Order: sequence, then C-alpha cells, then structure tokens
Amino acid sequence: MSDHVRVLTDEGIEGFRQYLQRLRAGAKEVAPSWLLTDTSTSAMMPSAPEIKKKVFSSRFDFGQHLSQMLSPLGRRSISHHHALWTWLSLYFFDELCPLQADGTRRVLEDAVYVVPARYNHQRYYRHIARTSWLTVSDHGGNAKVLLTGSERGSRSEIFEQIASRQGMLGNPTIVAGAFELYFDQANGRQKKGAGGKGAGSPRRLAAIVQQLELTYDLAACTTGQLLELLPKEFDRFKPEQAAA
Amino acid sequence: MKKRINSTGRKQLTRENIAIHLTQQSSPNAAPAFSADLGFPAHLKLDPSANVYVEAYVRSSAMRFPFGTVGLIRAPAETVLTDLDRGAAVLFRVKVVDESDEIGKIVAAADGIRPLTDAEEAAGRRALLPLVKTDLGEAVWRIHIHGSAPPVLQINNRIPDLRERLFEDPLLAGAIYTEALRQVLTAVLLDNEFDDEMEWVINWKKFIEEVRGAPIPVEMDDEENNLAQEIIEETIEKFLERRQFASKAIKAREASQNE
Repeated sequence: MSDHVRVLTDEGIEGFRQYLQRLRAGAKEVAPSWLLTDTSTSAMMPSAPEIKKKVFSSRFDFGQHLSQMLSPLGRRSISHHHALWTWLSLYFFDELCPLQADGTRRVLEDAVYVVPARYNHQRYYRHIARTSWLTVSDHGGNAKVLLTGSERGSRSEIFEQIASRQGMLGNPTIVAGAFELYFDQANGRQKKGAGGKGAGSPRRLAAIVQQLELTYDLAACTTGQLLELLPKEFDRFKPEQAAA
Repeated sequence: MKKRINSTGRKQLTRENIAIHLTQQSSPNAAPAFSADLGFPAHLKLDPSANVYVEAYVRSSAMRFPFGTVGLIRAPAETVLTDLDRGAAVLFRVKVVDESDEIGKIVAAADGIRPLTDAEEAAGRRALLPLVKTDLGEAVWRIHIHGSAPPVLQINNRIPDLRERLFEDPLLAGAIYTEALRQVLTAVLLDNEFDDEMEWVINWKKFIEEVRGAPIPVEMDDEENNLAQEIIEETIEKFLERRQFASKAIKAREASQNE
C-alpha cells in the first residue's frame, strides 16, 4: 500500500517530539501515525509523490528507496524541507526505531528524527532519513561506505569523520576515495580496522584531506589521484593496484 | 616573535582584486545569494585556461561554485547559499585551479574573504577592523579571527543599537576598542598561528608602523617577545592619544550635566 507524501505542521512536529520524550522516559507506545494524516498536524505537499513502507535490509537500502520515491521532487525543493523530513521519519519510525522484545524502543537524540527549521549542517547531517537520501542521491553506491555501520541513526567513525564536514560530504572524490579505502565490496561491509582512530583511519583521512586541500583542489581530482596523494599509512586500506 | 611563511608555492590573490557582495532575498528566512567581482593581476601570470572556483563556507558547512576560467570569468546562473549554516558570518575562498595535468592543483588562492559590508560598499574601501553584528549570547563583544580571514569586531546583535552607541559613546568605544586592539595586535605580533604573508597581517603591520611612526624590526626571534609586547603597548597608547576616548567621555558627561 502506498501513501501520498505529506509534511508535518508545527503542531505535528511538536507532537512527534513529545512522543520521543515519552519513549525516552520508558513509555511503551505505538508510533503516533495519526499525526501523519490529521489535517491539524500535517498538510498536503504540492506534487507529492507516493511512498511505500517496506522492510529495509540496510540504511543504504533505505536511502535508495527514498532517492527513488522522492525523485519527482527537485533536490533543492526538498533538501531543507524540515517538515517533510520529519514527516518521513515518523512515517518510517517502526523501521528506524523498532520495538524491542520488552516493548520499548532505543530512541536516539531528536536530531536523528527531527530536522530543525533553520539550516545547520551539524544538526542536519545527523538526520537519518535526510542524510540517507542525500548520500545515495549524491554518491550512488559509494554512499555504502558512509551508511553501512550507521544503521538506525547511529554514526560509524567513517560517517562521523566525513558527513560532519559538509565540504567532504559534498565532494564526490573524497567519498569515492573513502569507499575505495574502507569498504569491503566482496563482503558488503566496512574493512577490518576502518573504525579505528590510528594510522590510515578515517580520522587521519579527514586530517590529511585538510592538508591536501591547501595544495590540491580535490573536487577536480580523480579518485585514483586522491589515493596516490595519500601517504603510506593508508596503504593497508588501498585497493591492491593503487597501493602498488 | 613569530615567523611563518607560506610554503605551498601557490600565488596569493589579494582582496583588492576580489569583491564579494551578499544579496538578501525578498523573504527574511531565505538564504542570501552572492555575486563576486574577480580580477587577476597580470603580474601573477596565471594561465588563462585555469579554472576558477568560489567556495562559501560557515563553520563546517560549505558550497562550491564554478566561475569559469581566469581568461573568461563566468558566474553561475544561481549563487544562492542554501546549504550554509544560518546565523553566522559567511566567508569565501577563491581558488584558481590548474587541471591541465589532470590533477587539480591550486595555483593561486585567497581564503577568509568576507563580503563587503554596506558601509564599505558605500565608501568603496575595506575597514581594517570591520564591525559585524552576531548573536554572542551574553557576551557584549569579541574579536573573531579565523584562519586567514581578517579579524572582525563582533558585537552582540541582541543588544539594541549597540553599533550606533559604539559610534556615539566614547566611554563604550574606549572600553571596547582598547582591549580589541590589544587582542589583534597580540595575534599579529606574538601568536604563531598566523602566516606573516597573509594580507590582513601585512595590513595590520602597516597600521602599527603608521600609528607608532616607526618600522617594526624585521627579525625578532622568540627571545624578543618583550620587544613585541612593548610595541603593542606603544601602539595602543598612540592610538588612544589620537582618539582621546577619555577626554571625550569627560566632555560628554559635563555636557549632559549642564543640560
């Protein structure tokens, strides 16, 4: 069954926030799905596409689903639409914050589910629905390196180091380079050691990229060139032909 | 005394050749757009085919705009700063990138460029220490220096008419500018954080020399921090003699008592 995408009103967003607070206090409540359709808590969206609920195999799968479903809407028209992204979080809430065996939910900070009206990258990148959509829309399959291991709103070390810096998140060369370095394509997961903080780690990549950007315009480099510019400490993560 | 130089080999674009203008959209909540007047002096000998990019940034948020080439500057159709954090000052960097060797090497750049203020637009020149209104919580003012961006005197936009009061009230101006000047001069002469070749550092050194009426010694090593401290205090003293904040405050007080 599909539904037309809507947006939450201020009242709807506040209702969702209060629900999150109650869950954190230990309440065992079903998601307030009535907020999604009630005319006081939600509103129609012009040219709204249809969207379907489904069980997602991964956060990347979720991002792909959103990217496909929302493709009729222009990127710019929805990128900062806080009422839309908050509606989508509530719509998929059972998937994003599932019920545990004891009837409670493991709720993360509000920023994971609710987008503030005023744009602030440090808040926006934490939003589970928007960032899943954004990374898949902008980086296609390379987004796997960011989203794998960042399920249900948690943030992996790779995700944190790259997505928290908009200059890196918006740079296809850097995301593609991180994919080559840290994603195990054969097994569909992060490479062993990619979550560390030492030599060759994502944290070091972020630091080295900042140094390289003093000399090189990395957006104008190819992924191979970026990998070649990286120091030896990254060799253990480089694909074999690049490390040679 | 600090001594740092740019070792990247790239050429420095100067702010005299770059003017960024911010344009507020009709809706107060809408993101501003910008326009950029870019010029590349012939003596830099930049390849006309090198690509030009303008990047806008606020904290960790950033947007990038292609601006054609050195030989043919072409602004993009849309320059709305939608993806930048709101509520803080926008800075810009301009990069000239040589992509002829298939690797994007920055051959010239300028960073930390702030848009022209309305007063600067009207006067046609840049202030050495511009005033910028921003939300400072409970602080009244602060000096903000970030990377290669020139220092700005931030004043709290929550305090009504603070900018006007700063111009009108010598007591307030004296209290703020004395300490503000000390902070900037300390950054220029004592902190190791800022590159001596940065344009704003050069401009401030010219200011110090002009106010003191004497050149700054070219070489001052770490053991000569006392000398730097003396120069700072001497510059402040001469600046205060010029501005006469205390005398003006006394006169203003006497005038108000006689009314």
